[in-house]
Amino acid sequence: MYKNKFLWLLVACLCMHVSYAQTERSLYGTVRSMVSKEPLPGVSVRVKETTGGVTTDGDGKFVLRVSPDAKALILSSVGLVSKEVPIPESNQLDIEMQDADVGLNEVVVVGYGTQRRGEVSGAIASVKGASIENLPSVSLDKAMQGRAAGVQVNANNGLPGGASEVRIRGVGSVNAGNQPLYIVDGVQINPAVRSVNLASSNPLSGINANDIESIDILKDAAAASVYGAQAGNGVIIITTKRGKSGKPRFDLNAYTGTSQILKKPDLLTGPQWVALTREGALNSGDLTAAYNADLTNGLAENAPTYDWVDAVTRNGAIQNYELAVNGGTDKVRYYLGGAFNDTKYHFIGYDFQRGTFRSNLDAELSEKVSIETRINLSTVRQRSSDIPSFQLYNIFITGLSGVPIDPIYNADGTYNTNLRGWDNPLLVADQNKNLGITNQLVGNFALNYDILPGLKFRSSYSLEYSGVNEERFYDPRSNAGAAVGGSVYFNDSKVINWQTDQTLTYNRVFNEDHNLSALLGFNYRNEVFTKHGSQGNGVATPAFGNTLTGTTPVMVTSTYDQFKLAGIFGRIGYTFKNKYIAQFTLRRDGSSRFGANNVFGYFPAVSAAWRLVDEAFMETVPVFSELKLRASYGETGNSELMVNTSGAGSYYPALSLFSTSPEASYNGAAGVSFFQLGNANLGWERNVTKNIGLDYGLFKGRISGTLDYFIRTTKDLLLNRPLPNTSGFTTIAENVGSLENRGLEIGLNTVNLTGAFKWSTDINFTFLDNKVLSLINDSQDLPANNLWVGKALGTQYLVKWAGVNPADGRPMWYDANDQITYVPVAADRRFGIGSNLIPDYYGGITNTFSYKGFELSAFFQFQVGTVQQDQPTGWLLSDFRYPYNQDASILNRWTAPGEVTGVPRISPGATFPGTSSPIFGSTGAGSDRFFSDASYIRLKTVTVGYTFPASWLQRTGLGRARLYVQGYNLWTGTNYTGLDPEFTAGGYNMGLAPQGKSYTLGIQLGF
Amino acid sequence: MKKILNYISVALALSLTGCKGMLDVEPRTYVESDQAINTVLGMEAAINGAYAKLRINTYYGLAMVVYPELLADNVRLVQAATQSGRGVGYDVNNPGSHLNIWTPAYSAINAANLIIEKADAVGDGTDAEKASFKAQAYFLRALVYFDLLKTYAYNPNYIQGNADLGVPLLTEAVDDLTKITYPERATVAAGYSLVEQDLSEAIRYFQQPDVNGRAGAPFYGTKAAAHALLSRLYLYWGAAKWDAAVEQADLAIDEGVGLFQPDAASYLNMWTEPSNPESVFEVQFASINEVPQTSNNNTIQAFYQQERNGSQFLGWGDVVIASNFLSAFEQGDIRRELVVPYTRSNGEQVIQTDKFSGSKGIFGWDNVPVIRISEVYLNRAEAQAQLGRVQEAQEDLNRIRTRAGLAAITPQGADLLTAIRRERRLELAFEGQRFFDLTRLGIDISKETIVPIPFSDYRILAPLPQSEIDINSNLIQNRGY
Repeated sequence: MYKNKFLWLLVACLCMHVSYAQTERSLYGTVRSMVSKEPLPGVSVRVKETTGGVTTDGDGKFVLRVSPDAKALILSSVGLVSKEVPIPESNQLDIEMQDADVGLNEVVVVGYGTQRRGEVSGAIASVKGASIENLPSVSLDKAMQGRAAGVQVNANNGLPGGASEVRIRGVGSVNAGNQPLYIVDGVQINPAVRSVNLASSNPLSGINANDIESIDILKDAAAASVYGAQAGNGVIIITTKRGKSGKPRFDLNAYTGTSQILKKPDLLTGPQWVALTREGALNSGDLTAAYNADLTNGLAENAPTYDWVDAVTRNGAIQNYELAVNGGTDKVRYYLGGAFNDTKYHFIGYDFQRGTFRSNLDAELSEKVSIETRINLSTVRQRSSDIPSFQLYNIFITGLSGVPIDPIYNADGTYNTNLRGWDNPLLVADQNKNLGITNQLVGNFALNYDILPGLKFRSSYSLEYSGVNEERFYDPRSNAGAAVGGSVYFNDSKVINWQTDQTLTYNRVFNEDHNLSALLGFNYRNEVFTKHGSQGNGVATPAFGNTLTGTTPVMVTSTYDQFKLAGIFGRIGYTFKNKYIAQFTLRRDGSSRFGANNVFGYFPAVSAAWRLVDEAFMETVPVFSELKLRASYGETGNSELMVNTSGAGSYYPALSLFSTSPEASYNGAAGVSFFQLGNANLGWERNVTKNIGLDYGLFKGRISGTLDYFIRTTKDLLLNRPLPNTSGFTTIAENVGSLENRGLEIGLNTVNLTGAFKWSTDINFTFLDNKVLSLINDSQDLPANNLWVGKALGTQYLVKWAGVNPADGRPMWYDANDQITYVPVAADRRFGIGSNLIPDYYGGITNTFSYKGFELSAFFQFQVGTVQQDQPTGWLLSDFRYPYNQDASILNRWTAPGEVTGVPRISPGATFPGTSSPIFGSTGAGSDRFFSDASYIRLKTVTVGYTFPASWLQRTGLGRARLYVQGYNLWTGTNYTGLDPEFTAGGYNMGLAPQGKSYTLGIQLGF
Repeated sequence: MKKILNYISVALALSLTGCKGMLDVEPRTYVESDQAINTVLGMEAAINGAYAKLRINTYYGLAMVVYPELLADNVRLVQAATQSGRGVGYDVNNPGSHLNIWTPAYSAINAANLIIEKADAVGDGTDAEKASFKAQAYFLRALVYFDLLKTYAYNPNYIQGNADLGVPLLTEAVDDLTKITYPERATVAAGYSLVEQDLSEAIRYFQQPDVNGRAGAPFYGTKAAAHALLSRLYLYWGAAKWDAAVEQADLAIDEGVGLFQPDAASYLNMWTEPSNPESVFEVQFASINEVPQTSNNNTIQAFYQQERNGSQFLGWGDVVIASNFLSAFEQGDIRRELVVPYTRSNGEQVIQTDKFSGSKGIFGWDNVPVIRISEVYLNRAEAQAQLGRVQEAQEDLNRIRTRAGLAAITPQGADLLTAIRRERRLELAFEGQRFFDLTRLGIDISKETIVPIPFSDYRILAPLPQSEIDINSNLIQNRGY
């Protein structure tokens, strides 16, 4: 292999450079911060009166060859007060250094290495594990929401363990993936949904957020380009906790709590429903129907009201228990943690249970060799009523739309199933089954070898294994199973994602002031996704709904999706006089997803920083403890190209493929169909990011923060160019078009009060501007894909709702000439309401107060400037065309000439064109009627905690005891008409269970 | 440092380039297109895949059967009991509520084009096998083009407002990006000619030595099916083709595919059989899994019928029989037994059809007869009547009538045509023919709940999908949309 040859060549070359006498000895040292006691990476260490030296590694360690006559070491670095240390007799020494500004010495994880905040020249945001502790949101991606500038997190649904959409610096892609690359302790994970029927599955939900030490978000290309073709959407590096030397320290953490729906929809009562149903029948002129409605529904005033929403909701219950222990010797350190979470969601039929176990070991085998393992085992059991989009059987939808005069239970206590063809959601929750168990292992093993002082070799191997076992059962007594005597489905899928990274790092101090670091590495990833599904119909009795045995086989499927990526990368960092920082990165990546003509790509980046604060002229302005100007330019790629000519997902988007499927079989014999047209030129999307940033600190860090302005341009945009369907295909993936995200990120952290009563504030704001620069043939808009040059992604192009004609109660729209029309057509569509994807700005504000043992923190999260379609309300204003309850706003419907109202006359039969008032106009041209401003500010968490004073604990043997109460999603300020403004999911929010608010009570004990 | 830089750049440049093999993946569950259909087995699978496209819900799986009835006058929609939303808009011919078969139709056409182009390249195939592949593909292409023309274009004899556009006629396979075209709509006449030509080609290939012209009947194209479809095409085409319609009907009947059920008992029974014995061509749903949507929700039976199963309802039964259809029955017509009364959950009395009754064992699971032999007799009767061959026409008409338990009649002239067309309505009701039987003759559509839709109304033709117009500027939308 080329790789190995090069590594050894490089080693040989470096060996020649380092000349030393036999009498020299190796000195092993560790450098820590005097304030935080944390190890300091990147500190340059040299022998006094020589010019060459080394820098400390990620653990603050260094190895230096010293001659017998050397007297002292000089240590210096960005953000630290330089220090001279006498060389001891022994070969070991520990050094503490004085921080100029604590914030500068915060360790930031960059790709394949660590840096201190003060040295960073790219745009990197960090979220410390402590700030996302104990959140009942279960998955860590949700926990990042509002915590870092430039990172937008929106829940896909409110389900425990549900997936989120994480967007770093806007939306850079239309048809390729938009999720960042996650790296968990060195293991690359793409957060693709891997289940078939579960309402949500999230590969990150297997990680216990409380095991996390830090989350570092590589935002600009300079920071992320070391991950090349996968880094286009940014990179999120998750580092879990490691053991610290010393006797075992146990941490016990337990919390329990409850959750409720955020907002109860306002629906009709039984009498209202009966009266309006009758009105609808009369309006439609169908007197028979009106007469029959009278016969079956009776008099409105006698109608009962059954609260279906109440029936499908409950008080959720959350329990979480964790025990972790860490400790070790100088040479071996461990962190072991176990956790169990049990969440009963506030909708019936949805449960989540998770057990995780983590083992992080670090061992130094010799002075030159150390090994580490990071292993996370998890099992997640999710029960959900059904896939969200499948409206008929979705508990949330059937609960919302349950007709209020229909009893929930029969007189004998059984479920009422006489429900106009719809399922009783309680029966669905009770008798049907949709269960998924995800077992996941994410592990990494690495060996570090110090070849020479300053030169290290690291060999790392990772595996992500996750298996999802899903079972689904439609009971023969439910609507879905009735016709076929019950259906049983099994789906077993498996992801095996293995990777290896081989890296050489080198750092050296030359001529006192020149600090050089270099990285050379190779990365290989091979991911295979396999799935087997089977379905049988006709169970003997419902009790046999757990087995396929005995059913009539209906369908078997299997999937095999493979993806490979290989990359080689290098990075050179150079610091001069601790003031001028430059970094150059280059990666060459190849991906199996790219077309044959375009397999490999280069991803270069360069960044520079100038630490103004250390310049002599700044001495006149001593208020600054930090002032650093950063600039970067670089390219990254997006290789998540999983779309094809049928509009379906494909791991092989570049190939021309035939598939076989039940849809293609005919007359009992298997068939094939043309699955997708290939495109041999298909390649990565190219993200070019320019970034200018400023890191500032005033009054010794009392005020600190960052400012960043970025321009992220996505070129060679992967677009599903719509093909004329006359070709037999619907779309083709091509690299055409470009778009741009520009933004300003503001981070401000202030320590407002110190002393006994402490108050600090963390604020982050991101202003975002998104624009499509070019599409196919540079300018041709793609209305079918909702894409227009010059407009933001997600810009809505709809027929404008004009309200209700007061004369006859018909719904009105504006036509292209701003005249009223009752039958809007496609040509009447227009812009104006904005985008459902791109907010104007978003961010978060945290205030933390503490006094003695008490602390209070309040975290607000906000997003302003998107519009969303409130599909559930549209669904619930269906004019009694469907057998649902209706939104209470239908009480304001038009009834008599002259009435001015926003709700049309009830016209269930749509007896003349345009009177139907569903979400869409009668010709299918979308209307903006049910869109509303989805801006919101949400009091996301409030935590009140009390840490018992150490003096109280002395006799108990506890090292630490803390009691806390936490509220989550306590308050939302919004004008949005729907249940939860937070969802994005491309505008589809039908049947997505909204989030809830929760209260938890917890205790943390350390001993 | 310089050396390190040099090495890094050399390393980056050289490595990986030789390692393309490291990136090879195997799309195991797919076959690359150049390998997929170059064998006899591959070609057979491709033919299955092409026929399977007829099953889709927006085509013969549901829409092509139910909507032509809802858009016309045999049925009406009742919603009050189920409020299922199914069929809403179609019953009142709302603008845009029309058939939307464009995408599945052209997908099937491309599949057929591929077979036609690649059949000769099949390495292990005999001449007979190759001919048989092509025969199937030509038949399928003709069927689909004819459906497209019926849906999106006027009958050549009743063109309104000079709108003589048919549909784009693609006869070359797209198997490569470079072959994508942005076609214009050809004229109706060119469309009819292509259908005629394709069916003639199909027949020619079915007649090749060693080709079994009736293999797979009635689920695949056969010589009989091609003749039968030609008889329908010529009947639609008008005066110049009436002779040919008679000739093709004769040929179709001679083939003996699709057995005319001679008596009342066998006729009524045939609707409960998994495959209709009268079918000359029938879309097969071989397993419940081939039913494109949940069988009790979005299938033909679910639209036409509701059944109580314990406390559960299966289907909606919202599409019920119109009174004006019921009044067309003469006393003693045994076909009256195919429509059955049903009391809906709100007490409403309606009449449902029993033609799609879950005949394959599960509610909502039925095959779809596309051409029955009875239609071929009716095609011939109408063509004979148009040609003034009264006796022959009466003979065919009475064949249908007497089987239905009615007396033979001897109408003449215009009455004869009227009688044949009335018989056609009663015989083929609910099978997806009514709307086209009205529009092929330029007849206004009378409705039970709304004013009649004049034939001049733009809603007679379906709109081309707006997205297709957006993509392909060479297409001209039907007037009014």
